[in-house]
Amino acid sequence: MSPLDNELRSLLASRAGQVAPSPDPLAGIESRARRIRRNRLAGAALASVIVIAGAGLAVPSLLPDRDSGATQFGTQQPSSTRGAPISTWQPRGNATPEALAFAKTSYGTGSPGDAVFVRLLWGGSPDNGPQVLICLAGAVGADGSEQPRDIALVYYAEDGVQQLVSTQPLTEDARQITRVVDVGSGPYVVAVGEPGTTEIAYAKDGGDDFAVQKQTEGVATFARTGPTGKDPDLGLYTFGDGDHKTVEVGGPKAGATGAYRLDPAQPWAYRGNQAALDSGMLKATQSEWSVRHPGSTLTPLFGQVYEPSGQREVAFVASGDGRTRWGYATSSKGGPEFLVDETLETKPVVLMAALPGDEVPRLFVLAAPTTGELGYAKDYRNFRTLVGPAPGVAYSPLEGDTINDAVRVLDGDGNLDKPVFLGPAPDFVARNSGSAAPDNLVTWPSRGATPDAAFLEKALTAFAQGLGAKRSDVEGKVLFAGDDDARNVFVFGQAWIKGSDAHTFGYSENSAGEATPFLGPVTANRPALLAFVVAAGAGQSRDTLIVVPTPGAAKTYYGAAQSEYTEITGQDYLKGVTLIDRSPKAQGNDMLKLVDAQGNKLFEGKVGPLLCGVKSCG
Amino acid sequence: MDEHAREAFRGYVAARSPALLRTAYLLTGQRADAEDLLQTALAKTYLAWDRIREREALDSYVRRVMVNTQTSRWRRRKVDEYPTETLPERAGGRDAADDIALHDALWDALRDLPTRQRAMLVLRFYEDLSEADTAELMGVSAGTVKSTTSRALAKLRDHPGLRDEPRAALPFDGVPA
Repeated sequence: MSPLDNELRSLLASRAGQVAPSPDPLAGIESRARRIRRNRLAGAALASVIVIAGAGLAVPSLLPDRDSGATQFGTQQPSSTRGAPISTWQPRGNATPEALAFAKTSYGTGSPGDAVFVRLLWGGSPDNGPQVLICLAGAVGADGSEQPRDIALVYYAEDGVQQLVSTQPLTEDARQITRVVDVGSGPYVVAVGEPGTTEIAYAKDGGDDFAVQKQTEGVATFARTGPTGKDPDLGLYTFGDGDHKTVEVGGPKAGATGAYRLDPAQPWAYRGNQAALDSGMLKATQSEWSVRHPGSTLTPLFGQVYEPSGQREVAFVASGDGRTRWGYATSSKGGPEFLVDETLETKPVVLMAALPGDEVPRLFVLAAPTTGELGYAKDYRNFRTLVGPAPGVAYSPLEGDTINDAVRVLDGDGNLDKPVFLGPAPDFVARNSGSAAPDNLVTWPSRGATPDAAFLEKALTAFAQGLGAKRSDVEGKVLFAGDDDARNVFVFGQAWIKGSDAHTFGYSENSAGEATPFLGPVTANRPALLAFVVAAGAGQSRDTLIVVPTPGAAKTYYGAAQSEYTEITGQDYLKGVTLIDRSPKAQGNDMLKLVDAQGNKLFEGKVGPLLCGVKSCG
Repeated sequence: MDEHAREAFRGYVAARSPALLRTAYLLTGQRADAEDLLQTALAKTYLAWDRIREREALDSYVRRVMVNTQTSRWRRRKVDEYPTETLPERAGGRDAADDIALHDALWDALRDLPTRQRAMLVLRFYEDLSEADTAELMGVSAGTVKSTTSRALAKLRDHPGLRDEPRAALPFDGVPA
């Protein structure tokens, strides 16, 4: 968690805490409710007149099947009955019998063997293009009853495109249907509100700048001018009862079908360069990953040798510890570094990340191997094809302002109407403020013992509690763990709240199970060493000062003063980590010095500042 | 609504209105607007009371109405009405001067955000809702919540009153060593 996040929480709590309760919170509520109810009744009466007139004049002669639908769904409620199921909506606009017949035939093709029905909800010709039909569709039961299942979108031109564009499952409690249609001179929005909808507005940039659209019978069609940024464009419906509903105009990623989703239980086959996994890269990545996420096993999805640096890079999915994650690791002298370490959304269709590059950040896109074209646009509209190293894989430089950058993934047929994915590209800044590893995370290997998973969990929980965060938002890296003769058990390393810088962090428990967390400050970038004190246990007279040096260190010196340095020889298996007996009365003026194999001084200074917590020094 | 239901509604309002008023205040930035927003939301809740089956989700329902109403209200008013600069009184003498200045600057920055961005920050950082819950409440995808929140925070950082704020001036409250 960044300081701004903390300060924002603090501010909001503080300002909210200054709001005195109303002396009589009930005052005025019932009278306002009566006023709202009166307005609704007035709106409903007006809407009834409009809808009934519209249906009587324009629709019945074109809709031979509509009467049966009316019978099936009982008494029609053309007024603004709140949340009236879509299946009870009267048709609005109009459509030719040929177009409706085509819609029914097309829908039936997708349901072989079923008798189907299609009933118009709205029809029109936005921008004087082909007819657009939004229909309620479903099966007809053996007893002749209609069983609504889908909302179908159909294009129909007498001598042009005739297409069942999409079907989406019916949501009975939906109060609107919002679709984007590609007709005439460009994309149009068809916004169909429930009967009695009083206002439809549109915000092209995902903000609050809503422009009210001209509407008839609760339906508006207008040119889609957004999204102009990364946020989706929005529709805002005001219903007859005064309630509002905001929807994303793009709607759900309708084209995302199961065939293109990443199932962690059966992940995509490995693509890319086998050399990326050689020379122990895969093993080292798994090992380092297990330290981060005990019990989690990774499956590589893609690998390459990054030309500019010669580093091996592996993208993978991991599971086994109760959570599914994906990551992107790159080799380095200190062991694998994780450029991405993120929780995986449920069966995504694409994995994307903004990675550091040679000169500029680069975009990484990984989709199913069966997908077709991967596209990238700086303006959300003019996509250029990305040519990648393997099917469904692409990289692209991220240059300049990436605020409007978008990624599109098409299916194997290149279907532009139903992209497998269309959404904002990640930007480099956003990645660093997301759940990726913090920049100040040291790349040192874990030394000492492997901590017990339950113990590590307690440690990270203590860290989360110390910062007032949720445990699920906290991650950690173990640098050293073990126990001592007095049966103190400890773990030491770094921990962080996702999106924030890492803190130096330690946690110990004595033989009585008493816990002592150490919440250090934000770790400096590229420290020479990190230190931690385990308090004297039962029967001991001295604390243990644990010094974890950078892997390049060769010798560690310690003394009560600079003139009293003694070289501390650590055990070989601790790989440079030293455990130093330290007086519990030490005031922090005792000294440490670290040198490399050539005798170059890496660090020299007082112990006290190394043991500073976030509020005090020890 | 029968008398039993009316009594239940009154009990709910009595118990929850202080907390809901705090949220309304953070959404609007003005005490009077907050009271008006909450009253509207509670009036709509009153009308819908018999249809709300999940009583444990009442707070969520009221919050949703407040956010949607506030979005619409702001849209209608923005051409001719802006919030005043008047701030509520602070608890005297408790904060250091720097903290007060920082909070004032942050509050100003927060009030300058578009209503939807501000609402997302309130839901995420005050109500402590998850991205998924915020997305459901606001009728957008979790990805939109994530990106919008990120952009809102970036706007706060870039706000003229905060841009030059030294990092060290943002205190970090944690447990002592």
